[in-house]
Parts: sequence; C-alpha cells; structure tokens
Amino acid sequence: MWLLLAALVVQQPPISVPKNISKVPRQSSDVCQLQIGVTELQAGVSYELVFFVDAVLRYQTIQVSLSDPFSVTHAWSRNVSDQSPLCPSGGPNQNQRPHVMPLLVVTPGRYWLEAFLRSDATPDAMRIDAFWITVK
Amino acid sequence: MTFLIAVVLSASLFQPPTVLLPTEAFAYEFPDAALSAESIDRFEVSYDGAAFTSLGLPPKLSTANGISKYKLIPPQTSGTHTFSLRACNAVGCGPASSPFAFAPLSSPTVAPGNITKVPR
Repeated sequence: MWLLLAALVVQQPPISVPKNISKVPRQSSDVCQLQIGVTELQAGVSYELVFFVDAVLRYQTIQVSLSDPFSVTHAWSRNVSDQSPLCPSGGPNQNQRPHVMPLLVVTPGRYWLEAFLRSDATPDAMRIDAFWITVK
Repeated sequence: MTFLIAVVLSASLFQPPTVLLPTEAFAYEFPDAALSAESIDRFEVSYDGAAFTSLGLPPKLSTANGISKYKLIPPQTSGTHTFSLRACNAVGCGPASSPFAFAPLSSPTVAPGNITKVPR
C-alpha cells in the first residue's frame, strides 16, 4: 500500500538581513530614487501612485510606465509647469512634497514598473527606478 | 591597567558617522540564494528610526561569490543620520540591520579670518 504524504510548505518571513554597507560612487543615471510603498495591487481597484523623488537636479517631466513583459500597457506623464525642483533634496521623512499619479490595472499579472525623468537638458529619458508589481 | 581598558571600550562604542560626499551613495549586500529561497520581493529602509519605506527590488550593482550588491541613495540633509535595512516577502519582513550612521558633507560654516601680512 502506497502511503501518500502531502507536505504543506508554508512561506515564512525572511530571516536574512542586508549587510556589509559600503560607499559607492553615484552615477548620473541615478540622481533620483523612486520609493513606493506597495508592490502588490488588487485588479480593478483604483490607486494613487504616490512617490517621493530625491535629487538635486531640476526636471520637467516624470513619466511612469507599467508594462507586462511584452508591451507597454499603461503610461503616465506629469509635467511640472513652474520649473520648481521635481526632485528636492531630502527623504520621505523630511516633509518632502509627494507626487501623485492615478493607477488602475484590471488584468491580474506581474508588471514591470519604470519611472523616467525628462527635461530639455536631457532629451533621452533618464530611468530612475524600476521594479516588479504584482496585480492580484 | 584598569584605566587603559576603560579607554579602549569607550573608543569602540562611539564610532564617528561615515561622511558621505554628494558624489557618493551606499551599497548593501544580500545573498542571491536567500533572495530566491526566501522569495524576497523588496527591501525596505528606515531613516532616523522612522517607519520603513519600500525600495522595491533595485537592480544589482554587482555579483560576486553568490552575493549581490544593491545601491542606496540616502537624503543629503545635513547633520548625522542613521538608516536600517530589511528584506521582505509577501508574508512579512525580516530583522532589520543595525543602524548605520552617516553624515552628508555640508558646506563649511566658518570663514577664514584674522588676515595678516607675512613676508613672501
């Protein structure tokens, strides 16, 4: 008689810790760092994408695209008309002004979110951050 | 002898913060095996003991011996600050790293003075 044992694997929180902090040179491509609070969304639910951008240069447009592995399905742009610094210095805990964009994804899946900066001085978009977002 | 030991212990407790130039950022390491095995989907950072915020899963700076480096660009606010990092997955977040003290290089606050004449 064969006895079948079903093993249930229950995911646990991580136990590993980031370590060995060192200094590295900054590059012109990472003058801003996008920080977003969630990486998992519900399909069909409207969100406001709030992000804090930290840099010392001025940009006119921040563009966020959300794409599946094969094509761009959503893209947003936000223009800063008053030429004020889009990326003021300071972090999210320094009362930095947040930037908000609407976000609505109806199809569950795994998407790649990228954020870009554009200005007259940088005709090529400068990517500031990118990561996966899961829509359930 | 007792006095000498006391001095050594005091020196080790008060490490000066790492000075950060405007052209510098920080990097932290995380094992690739743990990233996969623990299904890490983001790192989080806390500045000055505030609530943790997500960094997402940044691109790898480099990988050597199964350990990858990731970049962290902290705020350039003057003064001494700390940050802690932790890895998270869909279930929750792991333990945080020990607070790391840093101080962005700020402009000098004292101007040269007492100008006098000296022979060339």
